[in-house]
Amino acid sequence: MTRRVVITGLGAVSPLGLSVRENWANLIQGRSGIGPISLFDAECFPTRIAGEVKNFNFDYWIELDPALTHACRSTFFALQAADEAFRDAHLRLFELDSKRMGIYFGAGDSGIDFGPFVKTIASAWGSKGTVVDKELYLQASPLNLHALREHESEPFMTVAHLARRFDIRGPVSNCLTACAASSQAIGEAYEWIRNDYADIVMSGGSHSMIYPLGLAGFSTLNALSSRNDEPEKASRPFDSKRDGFVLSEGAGVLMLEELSHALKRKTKIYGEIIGYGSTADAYRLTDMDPQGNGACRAVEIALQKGNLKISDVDYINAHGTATAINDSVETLVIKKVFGPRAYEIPVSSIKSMLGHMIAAAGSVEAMACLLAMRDEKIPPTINYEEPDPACDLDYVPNVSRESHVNVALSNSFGFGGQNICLAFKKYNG
Amino acid sequence: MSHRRVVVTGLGMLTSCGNGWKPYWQSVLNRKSHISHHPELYSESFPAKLAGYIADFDPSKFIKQRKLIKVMSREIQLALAASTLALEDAFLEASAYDPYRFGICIGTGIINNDLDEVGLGIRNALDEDGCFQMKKFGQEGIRSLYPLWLLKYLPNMPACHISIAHCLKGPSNTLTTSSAAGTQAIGEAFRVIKRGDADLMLAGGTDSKLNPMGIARFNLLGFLSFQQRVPETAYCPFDERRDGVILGEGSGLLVLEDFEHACKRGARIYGEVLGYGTSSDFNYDPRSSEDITGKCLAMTRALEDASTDVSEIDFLLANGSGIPHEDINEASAVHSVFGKHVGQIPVTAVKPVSGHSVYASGGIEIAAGLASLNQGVIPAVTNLEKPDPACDLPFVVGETQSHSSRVFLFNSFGFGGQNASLVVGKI
Repeated sequence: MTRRVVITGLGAVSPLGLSVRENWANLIQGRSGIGPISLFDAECFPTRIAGEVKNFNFDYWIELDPALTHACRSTFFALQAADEAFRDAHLRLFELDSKRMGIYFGAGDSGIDFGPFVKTIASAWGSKGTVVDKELYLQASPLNLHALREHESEPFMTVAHLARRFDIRGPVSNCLTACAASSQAIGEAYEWIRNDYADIVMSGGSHSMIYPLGLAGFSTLNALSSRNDEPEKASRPFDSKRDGFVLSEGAGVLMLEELSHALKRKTKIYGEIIGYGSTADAYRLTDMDPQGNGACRAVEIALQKGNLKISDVDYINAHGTATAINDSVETLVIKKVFGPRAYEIPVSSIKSMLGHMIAAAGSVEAMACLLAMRDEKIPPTINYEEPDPACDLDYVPNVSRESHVNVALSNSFGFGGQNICLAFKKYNG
Repeated sequence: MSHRRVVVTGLGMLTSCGNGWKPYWQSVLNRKSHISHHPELYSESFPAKLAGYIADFDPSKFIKQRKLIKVMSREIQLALAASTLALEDAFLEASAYDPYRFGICIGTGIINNDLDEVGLGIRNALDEDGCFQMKKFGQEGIRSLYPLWLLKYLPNMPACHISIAHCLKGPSNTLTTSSAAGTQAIGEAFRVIKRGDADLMLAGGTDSKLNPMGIARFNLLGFLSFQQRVPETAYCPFDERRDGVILGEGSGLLVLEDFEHACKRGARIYGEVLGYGTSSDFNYDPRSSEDITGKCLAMTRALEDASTDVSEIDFLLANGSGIPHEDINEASAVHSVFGKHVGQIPVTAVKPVSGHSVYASGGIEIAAGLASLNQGVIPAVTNLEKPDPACDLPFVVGETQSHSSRVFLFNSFGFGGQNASLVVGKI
């Protein structure tokens, strides 16, 4: 017996809004969520722009549950998106077997509690060839650092809070495979249900790396756009003047459910997951394999698992980070897998509007595939002005497009050569 | 469901006991704890002084591209070394496998910053009065960080470096579920092979909390043992005098292999992964957890997955962290799962041998279980003198038990409420 996996609930928190409805409306209208960084004083950083979540009510959650007092920023995003997805799926705790529910998430780290960390270091300057005296740091740490805040910075705490909030006692895991994390989580969650380890799995991801050391780290890697004067134009996937990605934050949650379980509940179905491919480049730490071999293989596995012919694919949601190498290699990958058909498939990158939510990126991108199927509308790649000869596909430039979408793919590639491809299909009974 | 069987054909590890699984197993058998005073972190004023640290680790022995060592945190170096040892132990030459059919699943968490590196950036951001200025950090501070600085600390980097070093292009995953992560990684890798997505997987964990940030964090949570007695006898899970964790470091990776694939190449087989269970309980604050339903569920699911009855389990390799209430919770959960059979199941635990290596612990400890199966013995719990009556389990105490076992159950419980259990058997 084959168990099929459908999506019955969606939730999103991003720079483009605090609900799926708001996010989708903005994506279809081609709006950018990028602006100047306000979370800390980034005035003198090489990059001073990011996609920040705005108007988020942290107090609401803390009042609801004081245990969240020290939780990290992205944990709140995850909770809110999960709450929306849970309601959207019309799930009611008392009707469910909590042991048959699981969570497979791609939650990112929360970063260091920077102020107290700097204070601790400042009271521990070293001598004799060390910058920081380890002994002094240990002595100073209990005076400056908060136990639970430190604990909350571990990347398993988001799922711990989700499990508690939604009474989920079945399998729970969290993967952190850089920019591919939440797509990988969705793929693995699909495997859990398919192989009968759970009936419902909450999946997706959450992340915020808009903190000083995160911005510093990506800046030194030379991965970020420094188009500080035109934040809304900074993220320009596939455009010839692209100069790196724009850091962003948020969460996306998908409720994955076994088909017969969903049918029994007579709940709405956004679509079906039919394929998942995961490979490693095994090439180089910093660069993608210029031939895109690993990524091609991930796409091919997803197609093969979904019993899909290349002519079946109606839309590809690209990883499309807007770094020089990613976009040209991803284009090559699509051409290698799809041959001449590549030029007929609309390919778009919603990172042009949302920026790069790192671990959480794949979750909202999966959502875009499902909503494109539902509404027969493909979100655009904005800021596409000047074609790059190395990127010559149909990127749905600047305005969304009405188009029938029966099958959609979502690509996600991570630092270090992590490749994920997910295949979604309209649920047609 | 497919009927692919998954076996263990290679073990690679680095612990405070030495390189490879043999010195580790010898220490387990001899109840020799490799806990000592940490030379760098030893401090008169800091209450915790002991650790299972690897004193003489030389990454250049294992890493061909020497210039990369600088951009590898200790967790990455240890994992890379363990991967090389595991492949050697499995007699897997690069030519012996299809790269796309060989994947990785690793448990690892936050990789803590080297304080000297990040400290330099912070020091360069101080104003004349010694106050930190974010504006200055944005300019001069970050200039003192080298280009690949961030990549030293991303949790997926151990898996990526390993994939590059050994050309493993199959599914690659990194799990961050605390002390359950290494065992979850083995369980998830087992499923990847079972469902046909790979024939070979490197699975386990890597971790080192033996740095100021890691120790500070554990200390703040009140988990660290303050035992001042002889280091070798200090760490004593399930004992009356236990008072917390003594941290270790290391990496343990298994080669998991499709049974037919292993037979075809005539591989040595250490054992078979029969079942895996994972679950969650609601212990967001691990200092005050009492909920044991998740622990029970992980064990039950692993047994069901293996189609094994509790009466068939020959011994339990317990989590045994040494945190007083955690050990009691584990004992209660075992009672609840094993019911009337609980008296017949010898229980052992191995964390005192090399310290609690958190994300790496599952990948290391399972080797002790596999060696027990193969050698027909069950090692005693190191440093267990007077079992706490509140942890009423039939521990193996004092001497190694001769016991011809076929199947054991292995537990790993995380600090965020994630639990993982495996059932492993002789082939």
